[in-house]
Amino acid sequence: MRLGRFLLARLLNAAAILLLVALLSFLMVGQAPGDYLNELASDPQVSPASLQQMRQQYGLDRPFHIKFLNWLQTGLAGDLGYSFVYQRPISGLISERIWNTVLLNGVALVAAWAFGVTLGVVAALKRGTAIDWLVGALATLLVSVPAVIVSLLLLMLAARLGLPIGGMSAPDSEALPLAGRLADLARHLALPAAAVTAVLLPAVVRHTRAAMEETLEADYIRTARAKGAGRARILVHHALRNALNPLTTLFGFSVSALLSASLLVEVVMSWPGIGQLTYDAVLRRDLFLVVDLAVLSALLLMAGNIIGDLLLHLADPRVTQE
Amino acid sequence: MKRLRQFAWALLALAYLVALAPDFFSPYPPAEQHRDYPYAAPGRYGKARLVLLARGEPYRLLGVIPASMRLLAVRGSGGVFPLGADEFGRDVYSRLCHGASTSLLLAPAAVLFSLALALALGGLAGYAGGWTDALIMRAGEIFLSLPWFYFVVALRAALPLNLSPRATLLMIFVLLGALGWAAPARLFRGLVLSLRAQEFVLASRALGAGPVRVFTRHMLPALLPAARAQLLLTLPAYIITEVSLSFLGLGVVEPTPTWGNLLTPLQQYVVLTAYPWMLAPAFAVVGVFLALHTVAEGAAEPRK
Repeated sequence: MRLGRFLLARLLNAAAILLLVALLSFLMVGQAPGDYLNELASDPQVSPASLQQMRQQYGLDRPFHIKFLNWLQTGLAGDLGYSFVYQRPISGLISERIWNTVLLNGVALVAAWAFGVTLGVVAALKRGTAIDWLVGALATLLVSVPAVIVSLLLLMLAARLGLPIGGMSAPDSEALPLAGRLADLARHLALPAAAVTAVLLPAVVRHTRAAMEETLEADYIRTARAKGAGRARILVHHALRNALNPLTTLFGFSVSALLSASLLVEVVMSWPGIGQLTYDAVLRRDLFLVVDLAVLSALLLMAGNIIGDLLLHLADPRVTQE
Repeated sequence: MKRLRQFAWALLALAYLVALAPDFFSPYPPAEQHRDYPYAAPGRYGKARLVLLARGEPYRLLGVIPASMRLLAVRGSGGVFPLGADEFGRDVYSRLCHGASTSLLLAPAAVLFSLALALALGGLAGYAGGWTDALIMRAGEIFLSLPWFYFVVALRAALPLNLSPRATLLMIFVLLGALGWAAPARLFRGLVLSLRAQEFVLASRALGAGPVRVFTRHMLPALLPAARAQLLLTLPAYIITEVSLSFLGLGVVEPTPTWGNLLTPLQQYVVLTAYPWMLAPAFAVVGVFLALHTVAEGAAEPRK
């Protein structure tokens, strides 16, 4: 039941932050000069009268707090508003793309943690050797290559590897059987996922190495060894288990880095996710869409953090008991 | 390791020299077009040749001092492009030098701004305690829980797309500074909390020193080493943000070159595969980041 209360507190906290984020982004964007309709105003084919009518129709002429409350109320009911640019309800636009972003980030997250923890553990076990140095050098190199540049370099490689250079499916994929479609998806996913993984990897490697180094020195490891426990058991059961605690905190932070990296990767590699949609919405000044997407990205971040907390609870129940 | 660190410092020093005096290091003004040589590969064209340390096109050093001495100057017709040319036949190397000014000088200014903000807010939170502390730290939590790049991009939407270069620079500066204060503020708050209990601080307060004096005279000197480490550690993140924004066309835009918008043409796949020298700014970014990380690791290590 402790966990239930802990989760409830986290959810309330997340809700409060989301509300503030919503208000903040609405405030910023609501004051923006030159929204989509202003841009239309410079079009000689659109008369001032029809512009005024559109303003009324979309509720743009009402005072700020009414607009915000309206938006919030309809938003909670699942209606995210209407995109001026796409001429479609925003909820449809988002639901088409959000799973693409979740898929890309999910795959990258799992890959980064699987590779990162392995490399970090190996480096900690081989402290001071050439392997340790090599892993450290790789982490430093990767941390120095920003997402934009990783994406560009991987795209350059794409042609050589015979991988597609954008999108998430081949034009004829509809005709393929399920297995073929999945293979096609995997081929399209490979590069964007590799790019996001490369951005996340160094932090995971470094933190794992540091945490493992510390736990390997601990007294209980010596005790376990003295009891005659095998190497594998000591490593997984005693050392890694205890090293997990600081790592799960990193998980929360890595979700934030993940979303930022995936926005850039999505744009450069034309992966049709919400990052790309956000970029598009900003360029085309589709302001309501921008606000919705900013809140949505905060929501994804909170979800990631809560998953991180749950993992932390599973790894070390003491944390939620306080 | 020491050698490596010295090399890293040397590299950074060079990069910042270029950033401060881009005209001296580059043969051409950044916007000069050579329409006969679009996407020319690195090399010499026509009858042009490069001379070292000669007078070239006049410029203003640091924006004020008139000068015309250049490290590299071009004589004769045609062109010399050490790192190739872009779509309009502009020299990529010269643009790289000029891009350094924006990309490398704006970020430290923004970091200093956000560190000053963090020192003030974190210091206040730690010193005052109570509800001031709670309010500032909750606000910080919100900033930390923002998916920051989404937010930077969304905030960018609040401003017109076609801002003047100067307004754009100011906007990025304020945006970066205002969003980056939360993490260092946490650190400074913790340090101030522990300093508060130290005897020399208590002594100073017992002698009747006010909070401002206690903070500036007794606490600030103890906070500065941490601030210095933060400066080096967070600088890359600030540079990346400017580079990424400009790459996307949401930051500093043409004709002012930055390392970010120099990479923008590479979004076209043809440019990326056929004219690989256009990637030169990417290698400059990676080189500077490697140096910064090497140096920062040295600064984070405890002194013996």
